[in-house]
Amino acid sequence: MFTKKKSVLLFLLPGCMGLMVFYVVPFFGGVWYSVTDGTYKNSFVGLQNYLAIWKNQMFLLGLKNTLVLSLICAPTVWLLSFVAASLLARIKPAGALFRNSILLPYLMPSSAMLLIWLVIFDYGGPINRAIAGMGLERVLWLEGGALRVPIILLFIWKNLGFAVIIFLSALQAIPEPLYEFARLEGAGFWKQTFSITLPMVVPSAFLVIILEWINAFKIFKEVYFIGGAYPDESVYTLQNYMNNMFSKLNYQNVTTAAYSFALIVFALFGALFLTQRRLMKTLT
Amino acid sequence: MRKCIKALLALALCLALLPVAALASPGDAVLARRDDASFTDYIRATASLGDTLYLLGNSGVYTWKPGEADLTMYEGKFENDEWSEDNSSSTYSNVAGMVAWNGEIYIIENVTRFEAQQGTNAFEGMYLSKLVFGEDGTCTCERGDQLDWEPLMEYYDENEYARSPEQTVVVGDTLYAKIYGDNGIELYAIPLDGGYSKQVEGIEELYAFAAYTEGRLLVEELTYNDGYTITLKTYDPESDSMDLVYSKAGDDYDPLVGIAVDPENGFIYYQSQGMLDRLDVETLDVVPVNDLPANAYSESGALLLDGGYYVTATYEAVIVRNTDPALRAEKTLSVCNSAYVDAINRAYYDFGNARGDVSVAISTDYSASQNLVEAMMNHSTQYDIYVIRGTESAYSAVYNRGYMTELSGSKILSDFVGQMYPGLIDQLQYNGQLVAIPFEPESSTFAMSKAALEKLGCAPEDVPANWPDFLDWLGTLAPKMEEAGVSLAYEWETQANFREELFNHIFTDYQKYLNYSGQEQGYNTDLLYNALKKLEELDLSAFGLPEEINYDEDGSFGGSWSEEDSKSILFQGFTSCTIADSYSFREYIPLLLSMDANTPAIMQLSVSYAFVNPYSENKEEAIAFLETATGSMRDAQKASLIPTMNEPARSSYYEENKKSIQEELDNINSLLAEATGEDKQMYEDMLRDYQQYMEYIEYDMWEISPYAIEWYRAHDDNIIFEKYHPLYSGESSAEIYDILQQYIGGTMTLEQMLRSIDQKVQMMVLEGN
Repeated sequence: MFTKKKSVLLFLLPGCMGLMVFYVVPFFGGVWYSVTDGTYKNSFVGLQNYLAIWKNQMFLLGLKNTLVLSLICAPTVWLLSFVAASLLARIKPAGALFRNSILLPYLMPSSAMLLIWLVIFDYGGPINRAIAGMGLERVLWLEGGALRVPIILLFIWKNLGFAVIIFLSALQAIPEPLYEFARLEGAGFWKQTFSITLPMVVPSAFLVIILEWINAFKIFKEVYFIGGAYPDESVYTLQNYMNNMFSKLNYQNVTTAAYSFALIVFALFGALFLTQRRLMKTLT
Repeated sequence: MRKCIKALLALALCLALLPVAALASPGDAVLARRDDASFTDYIRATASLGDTLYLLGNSGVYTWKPGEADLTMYEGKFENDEWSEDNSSSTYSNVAGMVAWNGEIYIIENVTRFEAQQGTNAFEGMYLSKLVFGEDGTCTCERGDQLDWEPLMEYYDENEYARSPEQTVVVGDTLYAKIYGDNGIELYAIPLDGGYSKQVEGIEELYAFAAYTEGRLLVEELTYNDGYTITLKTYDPESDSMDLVYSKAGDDYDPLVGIAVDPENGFIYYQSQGMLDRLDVETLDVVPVNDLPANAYSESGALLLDGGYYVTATYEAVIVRNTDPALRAEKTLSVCNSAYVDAINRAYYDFGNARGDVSVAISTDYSASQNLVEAMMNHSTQYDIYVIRGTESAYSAVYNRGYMTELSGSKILSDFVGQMYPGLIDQLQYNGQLVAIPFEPESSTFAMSKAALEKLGCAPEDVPANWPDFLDWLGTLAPKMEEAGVSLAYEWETQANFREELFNHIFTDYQKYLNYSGQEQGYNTDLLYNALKKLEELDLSAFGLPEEINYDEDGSFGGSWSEEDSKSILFQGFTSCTIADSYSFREYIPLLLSMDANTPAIMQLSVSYAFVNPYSENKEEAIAFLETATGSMRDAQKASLIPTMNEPARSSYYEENKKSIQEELDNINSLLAEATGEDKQMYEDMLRDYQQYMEYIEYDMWEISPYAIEWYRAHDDNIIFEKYHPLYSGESSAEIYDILQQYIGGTMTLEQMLRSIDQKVQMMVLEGN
């Protein structure tokens, strides 16, 4: 096997080159942008751009909104997907129809879904008609702070299906005899859940929460489509900030914001991985 | 020894060629330039015989050969209007074109007869008349045979009109003419030696044509079908067939302008973005061979002189260019004049006269200015000079990042800028160094008719100077309008249109005020709210403005209109208010209003800026070109930028027009003295009209008028120069526009609108650049 080492390298070369050209080089290029002033002389300014951006109110607002939205959306999808997967696992033969249906929003193009959402949450749409039917005042869902609600619901609707699939696979991989043995030993539903189900799905659960959190961080196009480049302050995300800076061709601010956020994400997921490891040790 | 001799010979060859390489292409010339005070004629047609160029003007025919310094003029008038003895008819001949055929130069004479009693025109004939050049410097024409013009006739009631050709080319014994016919642009073949004319079939959307090789005609089609397609075909008159030669499709409107063909090798020469290019249809190679003015396009087409000289006649000049690319000037200065600044286009000629060693190519490529920042970041050397509106986001981005060459080293530029308004000088500097030169100031505001005010019993001084008071005052005029015979706005203005117009004026004036005062950008303020609230309260129905426009059955608006009627319209819409536009002040009062009684009325000028690419490889030449351009700027535009330029100056056409009107007045007076009865009344009316023309000339014909200076300088303390603002450009401007439209459409209240805009603007400001 090792006599063919050189040819192995040859096969890896195109992929490595692609990685270098499209990831590594741009990554370091972006770092360079973030430490220069972007003028004709393009002087090195060290961390000045970072210091300036962390004092910028709109960057901080965008960061805050991004984190808040992700804190609402990711755990909600995580919880709902686990419950849905658990229910689907119990209706195995007929579950295929529900599984496919729940996955459909994930496969639909965002723009099509947005159009549906715009109709549903319109001032005269079905949601407001239902609200009016209950004797309450209609809400301008697509403007102001209320825009958060359709954005969060859209995220949940779109991403629920994929998370359900992951959880379902994990649940279906748990051997049935374990549950039989537990029942024979007198274990109830909650005991089975905490002693068998959860420990067995912890890796998938962490996978789901990480994926959903990443997706939540990327909430932008829905906000942009409905609210524009400068939507209400409650839904102005970090992506809005970066998009606006990009429009102004201020690559320094774009890269500085992106790398600042990347550091936060690395820290966050680093903490999550550590938590997962400890939990695995405890449960096993 | 041999090596030494070879080296010496090579050195001698280089030295011999050096002067050639250092000069512009030999034979290049600019003829009959309109801005040249020594040339006052107007070139109407061109033709060539061998290496001799013929230019037909109003005063005669001019000839020129490559290498000659000046045109040779042959005086002659070829248009006549002769009345019969009993004044019952007149025979009028005018020139429809000029062509070369069988070694001679001919004009195409269009002769018509006007029957005074019936008031009808009858076509007498289209004649091919040979020009005869006398040694006494005169030129006459010998009327020749009639051409068959029947297929090109137009009949209207009892009148006959011969359609004039837009472009003519002679191939063999046939004249090909481009005509605007009943079905659009058509090409006709007219035999010059007798025979019947016919339309050349098989052409779709004719754009241009030129003589090709082997007795054929090259036809250019420009079609549009989800993109533009340029097609070149050759027409063989013997077989009456068309063959495809070349085709190119693209998204942009980019035809081959001014095509001319070298009959020896079939190379096609054409104009493109300030360059003369050569297309080889065999290999499809395109080679730039020389430069041309950016606006060199001419309807009459182009031609080639023997010796390889391309000639195109434009409104501004007749341009001659050597087509040998090897003889081009060593250096080419590329200018991106996306702002279409006239002084830059004029500098092309002035700079070329002074610096024959530099070829100048001026492009009007708008996309190049939009991609300006990317070009700077990529260290692009495509353009040496950029000329762009100061309100463009690209200019703002480049300026803020310092991507401009310092120009302080040029005394001419520094002295020129040093005279300007201080507020403008600040915008031309970066880190204390001069980096940009301003051109073409523009400013506009709305105007009121002096005559309409007078009818309402008001003087210009009665008009309030701020928006809230103005709108109150306007409301008091409503009851007087009908009796005074005055309308608030034109018939086609509905209440909604007019309200929106005033709204835009107020909104813009508020923006100007923020720029002037340097205050934080805030729109949810009492100042703006009060003015807009007054506008909401103004009852436009009291002025008789319609709620909607009533169109005729055929969809047209209908109604007749005269200049006299327009004087009774109080609001005249936008009018320019720079010193260069003195005509604004004769009948209209430009109005600049402030936001309230405690704030000033602001005059905001929008300017184009020219700067040198910091990565240019021809910086010295670029700076020299800008120096020339400052001299090419019209005085009236300079006066709008330089506060000390207050000397009135007459228009260059003043003396000529005054003389012409005076001659008419003298003629009418002499006729009036002998006239009786109805003729006397007619001449008295004519006298009155011409006396009014003379008044207009005295009032209007200024390059820099004293009234414009007086009005303009009164706002000296409140002049600002417009910069880029996100409200007016890019995606965010579309969002603001949506909000404004929601308010104007009534789906948003004033308070909601101001809050929404204010929120967005605050976010833009907080984001920073």
